[in-house]
Amino acid sequence: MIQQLISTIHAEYRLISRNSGVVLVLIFAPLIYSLLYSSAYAEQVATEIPVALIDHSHSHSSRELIAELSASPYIDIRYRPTDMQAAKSLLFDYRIHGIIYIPDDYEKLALQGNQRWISLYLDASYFLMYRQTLLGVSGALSSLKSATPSVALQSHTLFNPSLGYGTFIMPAVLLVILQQTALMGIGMAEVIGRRRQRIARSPIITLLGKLLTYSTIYALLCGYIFTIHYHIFGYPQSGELWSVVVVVASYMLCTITLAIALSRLYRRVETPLIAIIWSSIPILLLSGASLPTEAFPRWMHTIGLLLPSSSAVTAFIRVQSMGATLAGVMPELCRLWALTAIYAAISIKNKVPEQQSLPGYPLSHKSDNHTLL
Amino acid sequence: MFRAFRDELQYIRRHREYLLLLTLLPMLSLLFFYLFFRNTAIEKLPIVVVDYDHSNTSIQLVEMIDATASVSVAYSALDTTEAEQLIRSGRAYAALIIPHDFERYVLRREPCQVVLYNNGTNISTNGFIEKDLQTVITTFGAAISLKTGQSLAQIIPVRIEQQILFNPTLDYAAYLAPCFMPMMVMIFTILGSVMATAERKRRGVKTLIGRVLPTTISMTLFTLMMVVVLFTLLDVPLNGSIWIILAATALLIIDYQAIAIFLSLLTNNRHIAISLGGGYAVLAFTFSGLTFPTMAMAPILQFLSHLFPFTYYMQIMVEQALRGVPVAISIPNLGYMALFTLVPIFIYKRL
Repeated sequence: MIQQLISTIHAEYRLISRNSGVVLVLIFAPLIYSLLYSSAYAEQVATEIPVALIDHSHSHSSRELIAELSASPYIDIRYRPTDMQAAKSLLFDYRIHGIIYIPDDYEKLALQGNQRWISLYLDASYFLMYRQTLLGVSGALSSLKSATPSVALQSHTLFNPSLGYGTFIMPAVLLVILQQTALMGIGMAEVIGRRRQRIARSPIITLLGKLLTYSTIYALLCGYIFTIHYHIFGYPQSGELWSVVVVVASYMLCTITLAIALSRLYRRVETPLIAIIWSSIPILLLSGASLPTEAFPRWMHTIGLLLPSSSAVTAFIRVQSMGATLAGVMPELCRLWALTAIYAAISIKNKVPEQQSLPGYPLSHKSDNHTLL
Repeated sequence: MFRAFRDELQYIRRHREYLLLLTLLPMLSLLFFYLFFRNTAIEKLPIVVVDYDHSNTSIQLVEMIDATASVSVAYSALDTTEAEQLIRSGRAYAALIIPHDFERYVLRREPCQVVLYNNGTNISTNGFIEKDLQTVITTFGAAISLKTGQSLAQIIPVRIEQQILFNPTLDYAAYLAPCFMPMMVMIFTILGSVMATAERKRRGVKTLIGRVLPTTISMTLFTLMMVVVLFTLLDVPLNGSIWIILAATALLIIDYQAIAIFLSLLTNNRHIAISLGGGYAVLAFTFSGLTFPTMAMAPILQFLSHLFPFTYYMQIMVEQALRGVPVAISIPNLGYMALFTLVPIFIYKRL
């Protein structure tokens, strides 16, 4: 039996390593994607958002306000147009993302002891620009207060103090990348493998052998992504090592079994690619990592729980970014284990479909011994 | 060319996955985004309150918070440890701590602080909670300060008249759906066009065009449906010209067909061409700068963003759907998009 297992693993490694398409999707794709996405978000916080300022007050007070605004790290007063029309055309040309307007009675109101006002035009077609501009202006204004407010809000941001964009989205993106490339790569390898299978083995041994093969590959890949990659880009690593390992290992095992179970539906090498590529964004959305689950239909989230990513993304973020213990993510872990059992049962029960040959599409796929490009 | 087109239709009929990717899968993706974005409002995010005061005043404050649009006081905890547990277990997004003697401070007109611990791992929920709680506490505090004889000018010396342009309700559907749906057009265009051109016998420009034509037709119909879903069913604002949006989407289809032909003939390997094309398509979202601005990226990545037709497409979409800019402003972007149709020139020898 052990012999059978070893020969399955050996055959599986040979199959993967001989097929450049599978290697590209399974190993290089996650490495390239994770590097590109993380680099794009490396800056984490967008600062110095260009804005225009129109000062119709030309007074001591308005200059005082402008000094405060200029000191804000979030905004950069790049233009000083004289009227709204000019400011608007700057906005349309993407040269600015906000307009600050100081009215002519700005100082007069202050001298009379009245509340002053300014107008702030915010570009909501890019949410982050809107947010940073508003943050910059309201921050600058709060330093003008003369009296201590009777009740004030003292606010602390937990787990991602600078509200970095990468820290927010990348844990989910990395997990979804691993899942999607596994579903595609393993699916491709499964279809290619069918043509070579000659020795009949017990389905349980076969599944076990495949799980072990891919587990070693993902142990290395995840090991790199969640330590070295994580360290380079400075993502939070608040979880205990063991908890993180358990969550990631449960996730990858579940994903590998799902990939094998799904491969029973494919008849051609490109089918898994076609079936999976377009679903990456829907799957990321369903995990609730970008828009919270409260923002979209509950039933959609429930259906999404059939995918490993939906449970794993929240469990991983809570353990790794927020420092939760394994007990704190037990419901998600149990879901992953249950899914693994179901997918394993499906892949053992369902027979491998017959290879079908169609005119115009030769059976012996020539890319089997192809080198990349 | 016409014969190649007819032969391709036959070929599609015999290939289930090719047929699916030109018919059912685009529909499915459209349906998904429609259902997902139908009423995306960030409302009633659960938070936990630790009320150490248990007074009428603190209860009044909690009620005010519960009444806001984005926050719902779903839990009350005895101490901060319990509140922290609720945040770590994912049940609450934030914890609000009302200190001992809160009422006493308020009645004595002495300044005091309410503390918010807000989860930063989701910057959207964080922003909504922060904004609403800040507003409630400021209003609550101002009402008390006014009673003590302070003037409004002392408490809030400068008021901001906020004008939220282009998407006044900060609607996520209007923000993301006009990006995600065309991404599906882009992805299926690449997949279909690679199926039509990679690992296929007989070449020649006319044959190639005939073969990708079914994809062009399918994606054109898909675009028309997408426009209906976006601007009528999802009520995304259409402040500019629908014709420019349609022209840009047509160019988007042709661009990605040209790119797919380039990849197909370069690799002549179906699944490698699909992998590369798919990767290129999915990355386009990040480099369009819609969610995280390109100007905050490293110079090399800023340069990379120009290598995706989708970057220009998104600008046109934002300009014509949300911003309502004059048509003339979008014309240069259409020009840049047109340049990508020339990509196959790099492999003209293989055409």
